[in-house]
Amino acid sequence: MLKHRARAALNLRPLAAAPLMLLALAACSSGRVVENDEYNNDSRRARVQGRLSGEQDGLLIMGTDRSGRGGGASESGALGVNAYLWRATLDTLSFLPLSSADPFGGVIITDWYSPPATPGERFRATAYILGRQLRSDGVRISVFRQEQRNGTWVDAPVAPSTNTDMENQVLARARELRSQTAAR
Amino acid sequence: MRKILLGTTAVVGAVVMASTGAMAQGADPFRAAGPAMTSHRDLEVRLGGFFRFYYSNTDQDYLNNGTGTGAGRTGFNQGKSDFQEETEIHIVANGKAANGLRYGVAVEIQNDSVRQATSGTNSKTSLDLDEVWGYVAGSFGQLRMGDEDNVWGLMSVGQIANFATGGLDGDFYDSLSGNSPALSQPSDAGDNTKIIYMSPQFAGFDFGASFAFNTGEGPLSGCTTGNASCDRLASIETFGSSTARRRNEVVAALRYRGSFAGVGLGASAAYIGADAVKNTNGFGVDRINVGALGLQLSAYGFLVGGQYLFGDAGLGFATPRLKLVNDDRRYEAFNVGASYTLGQITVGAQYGETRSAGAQSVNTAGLANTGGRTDKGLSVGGTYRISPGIEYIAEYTTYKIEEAGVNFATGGRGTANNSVDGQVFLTGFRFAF
Repeated sequence: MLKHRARAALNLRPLAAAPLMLLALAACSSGRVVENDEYNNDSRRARVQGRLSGEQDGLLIMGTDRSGRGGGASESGALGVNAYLWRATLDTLSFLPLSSADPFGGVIITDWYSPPATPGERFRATAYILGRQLRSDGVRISVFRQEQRNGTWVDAPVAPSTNTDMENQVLARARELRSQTAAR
Repeated sequence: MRKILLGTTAVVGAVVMASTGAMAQGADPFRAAGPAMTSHRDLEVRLGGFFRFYYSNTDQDYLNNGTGTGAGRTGFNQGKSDFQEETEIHIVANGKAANGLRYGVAVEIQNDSVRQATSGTNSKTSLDLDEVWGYVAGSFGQLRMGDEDNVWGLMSVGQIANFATGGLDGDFYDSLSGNSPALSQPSDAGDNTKIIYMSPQFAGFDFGASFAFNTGEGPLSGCTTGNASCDRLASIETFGSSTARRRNEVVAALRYRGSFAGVGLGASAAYIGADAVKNTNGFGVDRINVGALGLQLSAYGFLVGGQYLFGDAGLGFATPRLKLVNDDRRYEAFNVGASYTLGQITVGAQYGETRSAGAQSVNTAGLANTGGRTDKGLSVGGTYRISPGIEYIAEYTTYKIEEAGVNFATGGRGTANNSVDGQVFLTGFRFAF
């Protein structure tokens, strides 16, 4: 019996050493946080793929969706930024032709657009969505304006309130979208 | 609009800062107005559920044995077919404090399909708790505490259970009438109340350790009737095999996960150790010393894996071995499996085998059963995912137990009926929300 135990101890010595080495590693560098869904779960529910609700995991009965990895409306997995602000910005800038939109970086750049009423001037806008949180300072919009002089387009100043007004439009729309979702 | 928003921010922010101090989150105009105590902005509480409905066809030895009262003839006969249902309700709360500390609680309520109707329990549909645990986590890793599997259960790889009801870790046990095989699946040690540390991941590696004083679950740390049933039982004078329980259970595990040229690789190694309740007036009980290894590979929809466990233990790695003369057989077990997933269909198979000292029952005369035992099981099956959260499964499982000196028809010692086998076919639906 003792022989068996000694043999087991011998076999297990490398196993004991490895965590110690990792502990030393832990002391000098910070690792990646392991999420709860990366551990085995022997409940029967965990063995079923997907959820009837379409949510990532269970129905949200209280608080805020913190999943941040798909399913949740406020922090959709397909987007790197807040989904309400993203959709609201697209809605608000929809009167301009879209040049590029990066949902992960949160950047929307439009092309030049001349309003039919004023063919001598054109506008362009750049919008930045700054994070996953739905916050009033989560969006920045810069509007650029050019005027046609002697057949060429030259830069012209924009009224100082224009950018802020556009941002307020986006925030109002975002709030509207959120209340619509919450009401469902 | 912005003025309104900022105004709201200032008012709500002031209320929150005043009432929760340093724990307040960043000012947020979308935080519900009102005292901080009623704001659940930083908490996420979810309700989840599970339900299954299966047709079960069971063919097991010594259950359809005619009439009479002779050896192995109980006079009871059982049919093969039955329907069965099982349900679970999970409540999970997760939150994050302003300092980045993550915390949460998971409560799993289930109807215990295994429990018989007893004097204290009216039916098999009574609710009880499966796993219940809380955690705090951060850059230091995760500290988890409660009724939960040990770290071999939580971090092992190589068990192929992603098809049908879960192969040899699946639902076929619910169809058996005694004589269940011991097939050494990672969660076999159960959810005794314990404390668990699990590290962050470094270069694909993470590790963990868990400790439990004994095999008890739940709030009761004493006992309701009789000292032998106490969670904190340390030693006993009149020993039965049921009192060969773990004490001071220590499990340490190391896990690696990575991918090479499109092939996913997972490996794990663990030590499972525990003292045992002592016998002060007779034979001793061996300490559990078990090593566990697991390996799995995944690519192109295939998943193959296996686990190997070895060392000093009794019938399974979670049961201590009695120090009986001529019964010092080492514990050794493996399971291997493979599955293939194409679109909404997964098919798979798992085979497992455990060689151990066996049942080790001791009668009043002190005579012990000393024959070695072999448990074998094979499960094949498939899953069709009808839509997210609804699955149709079909599974066939066969198993065989052999142990010299045990009469499986009567459950006692004997030279006859030294092996038992059974086959279970399950098919039905399962739902999760």
